[in-house]
Amino acid sequence: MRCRQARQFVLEDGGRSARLEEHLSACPACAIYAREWTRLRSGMRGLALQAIPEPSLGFASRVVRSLQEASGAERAGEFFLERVGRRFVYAALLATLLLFGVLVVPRSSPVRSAPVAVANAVQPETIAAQNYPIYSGQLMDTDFEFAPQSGSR
Amino acid sequence: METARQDDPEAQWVQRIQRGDGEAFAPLVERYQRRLFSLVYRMVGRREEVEELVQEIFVKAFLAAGGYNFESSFGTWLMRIAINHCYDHLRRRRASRVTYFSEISEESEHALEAGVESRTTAGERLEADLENRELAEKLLERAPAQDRVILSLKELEDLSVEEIADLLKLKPSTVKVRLHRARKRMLADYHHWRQGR
Repeated sequence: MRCRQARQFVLEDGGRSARLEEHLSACPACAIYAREWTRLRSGMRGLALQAIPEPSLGFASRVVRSLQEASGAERAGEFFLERVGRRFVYAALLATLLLFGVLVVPRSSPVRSAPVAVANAVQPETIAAQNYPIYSGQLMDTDFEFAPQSGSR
Repeated sequence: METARQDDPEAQWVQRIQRGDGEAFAPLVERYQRRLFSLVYRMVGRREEVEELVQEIFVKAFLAAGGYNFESSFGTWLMRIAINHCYDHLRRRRASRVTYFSEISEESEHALEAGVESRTTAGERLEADLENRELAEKLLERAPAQDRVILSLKELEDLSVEEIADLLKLKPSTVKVRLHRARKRMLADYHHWRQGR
């Protein structure tokens, strides 16, 4: 018998076989293993013999009272979920839909106006372009001269 | 598996509870309180925690009574709730605990070192038994919650592998494997401690 198998048998319930005893008498390490397990098992048997704590006086009636409280709390919880909770969920859903409508729908709409930031960014170029004669209408009847009117020339 | 008989007075109490009659729970508390005290005490090992845990188990069972389908006996169903509750409690306790061996007093360390095999008189044997018990208690305290549950049911409650399998809804072969692993880990933990000193 190998040590591994012997140790497995040591931890099993029931009596020890002659083969196991033979191995334990020949192998000091497994003998210590077996002795330590016997010791722990004896300790656990000792624990099993300890007196069990008794319910204190009036324990059963306290339990029944706490059941009434618990079932009352559960009913209150159910009421909350049924009434208040459901309303809260509906309100939150409505708020989410409104927020979605405000934030998402206008951007994809064909009647969308230009964003303010874009308008501001374009504005200085438009003003500058108005200084060219072609835009100001001065070159309509003259030769094309592509230079700012208020420039150095 | 033990099943519940519908004409049993216990089944009638349960049916009344399922219809919302809380008073019908009182006889069930009277009937099962000692069994639960024993089971919970052996699983958690602390007297001061037992009563509160048993009360919580009864409340849990009462609130879950609507889901009891009479497939197993009410006692088995209640014990399952108790085992799960204790398991959760042990996991929480283990998560918040500091190292175990620091909790062993110096006195008991010396006593353990001295060894017990050489003692012969009745007084010495009694002393050795107490030391073994303390050692087993501390190792159980240190064990993972799953190991503690199965070791308590087998070694302390003295249930058979089949009874444990029924309670834990496992196959007997699975219970045997888990039990073997739990014992092996407990012993390895003991070796680890001895080598670490």
